[in-house]
Amino acid sequence: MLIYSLKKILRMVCTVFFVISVVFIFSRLTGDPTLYLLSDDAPLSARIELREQLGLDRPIMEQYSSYISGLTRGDMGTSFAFQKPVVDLYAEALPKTIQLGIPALIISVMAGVFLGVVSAVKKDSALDRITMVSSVVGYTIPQFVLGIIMIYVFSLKLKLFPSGGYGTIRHLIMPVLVSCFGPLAKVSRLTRSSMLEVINSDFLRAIKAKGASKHALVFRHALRNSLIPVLTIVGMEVGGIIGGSAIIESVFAWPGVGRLITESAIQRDFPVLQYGILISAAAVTITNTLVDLSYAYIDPRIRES
Amino acid sequence: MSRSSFLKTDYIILLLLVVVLAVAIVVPIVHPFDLKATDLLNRLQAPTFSFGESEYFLGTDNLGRDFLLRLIYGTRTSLVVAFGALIIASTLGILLGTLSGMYGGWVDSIISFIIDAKLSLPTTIFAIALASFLGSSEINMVIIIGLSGFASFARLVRSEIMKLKNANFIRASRLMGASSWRIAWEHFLPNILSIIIVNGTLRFASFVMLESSLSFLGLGIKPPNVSLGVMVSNGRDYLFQQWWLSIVPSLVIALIVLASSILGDRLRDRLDPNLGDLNA
Repeated sequence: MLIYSLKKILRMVCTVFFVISVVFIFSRLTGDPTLYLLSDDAPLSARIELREQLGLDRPIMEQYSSYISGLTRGDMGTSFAFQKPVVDLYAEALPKTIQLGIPALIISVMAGVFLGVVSAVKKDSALDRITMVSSVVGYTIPQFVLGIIMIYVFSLKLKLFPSGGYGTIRHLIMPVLVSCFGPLAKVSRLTRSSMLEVINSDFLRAIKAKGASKHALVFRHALRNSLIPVLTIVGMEVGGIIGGSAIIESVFAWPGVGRLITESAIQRDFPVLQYGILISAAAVTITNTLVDLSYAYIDPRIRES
Repeated sequence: MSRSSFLKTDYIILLLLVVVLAVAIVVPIVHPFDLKATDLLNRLQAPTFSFGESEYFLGTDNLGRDFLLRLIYGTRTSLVVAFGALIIASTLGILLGTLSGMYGGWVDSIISFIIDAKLSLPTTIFAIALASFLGSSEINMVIIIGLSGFASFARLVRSEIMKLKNANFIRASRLMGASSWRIAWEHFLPNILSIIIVNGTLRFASFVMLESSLSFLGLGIKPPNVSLGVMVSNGRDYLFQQWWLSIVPSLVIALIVLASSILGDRLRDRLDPNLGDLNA
């Protein structure tokens, strides 16, 4: 188990390193950030001076090695646009994204598993149908469309929630709802199909014949055995929520990591963008590694291969 | 609600998709329209269905342009970009997946590592970063979205080929001296084609979503060119008074995505009942 874990962790580090290296080199090969930082009619001399100041005139490999050695020292560089250390920008933004992401993840997993179990146990009931139809809608409506429609209905017409911004708990409700809708749909659908498979299996019929109570049947036996595929999807949804935050935070003017990434992408503020990519890639690979390790913990056969 | 009434709503949605496709293809041909021309005197007219004043069926936008025509042109851009991206993603995915599945060994290790690395970034973030590096013309959008979506094809093709690789008819063909190229082209490809088509239809839905999301964020199609995401984003500032400017293109996006997902699901049931849930 120890060697298996170490291998997984090594692979994780390699993946993240590879991603940030490719991103760095690609960012330096395409386009000139000073085109966006200075106005169109800025004199050439000012442009050259700014390039020197930002270190963009040095050879790519030299820029790359100083970037990597900066990373090992915890120095993420300085934002081109804000003239502030990148770390400071993220220290402000990250807690705000976590405030959105954690409730969204918890709600989508809890409600998704609950709805999935109920629709599997009461298959073909009205609740099952409603859950399944709304789950199709859940992962086919783009998040910004859902966000705009919610702003129109709940902020402009009903005046229940503010249309955007950061502050009270009322600002939090709509963005959290929008970001958990898609994952909720996936989790409930998968839990349902996974539950149905277990419910129709021989071992469950045997337990039923033994005379186990319905409660024990559903929760102790069926649910436990159907949670493994659900675990995979939860791991994947962490990436989904991070990706979705880029859009949701722009719709609701939420000053988090997603918005920072989007804005730095528009302004070609590469140090900020690179760090955002580093954070997202690290978050996704760490989650995937944890999910892999928990499989191996649950099922020894996986460790061997 | 019975099973058959579900199917009926499916057909209605598919019919709507066909109508949307036909309109988006035909109208720009028979009715050319200058996307740059503005008419500020007639800006923000209400559509005929709500107040009946305007000579334009869906009214005009904030620069006085015919909203219905822009909607049609925007739909066309979104569909063309998603379709182009589909071609790039599937070609690249099939190529990498076949190489990886057929040769195994270090080729497989390298390709799998690249795919894993790609999948370690959420698709939206990956596309945002690419859009920032490449800038965004219509062609670049096709490339960006194509590169964002190839991994699912590559993984699918790889696993299918690994399953097929040791089948007797492949061994027989190899014994008869068929080249790897011939085996890939004549045996693997026809056998995995239905799975690729199903995945492609489902991906098409997500490509439309990605294109409109990027354009909405200001990282995709840029004015004066128009796509559905651009229209939703433009209409946002007028949401209180002229809600249709944002809501109508939103609904068109939702319709296209929903319809192509349903089409993908139906195709999957028809072509291969054992395929399982690709969406999950």
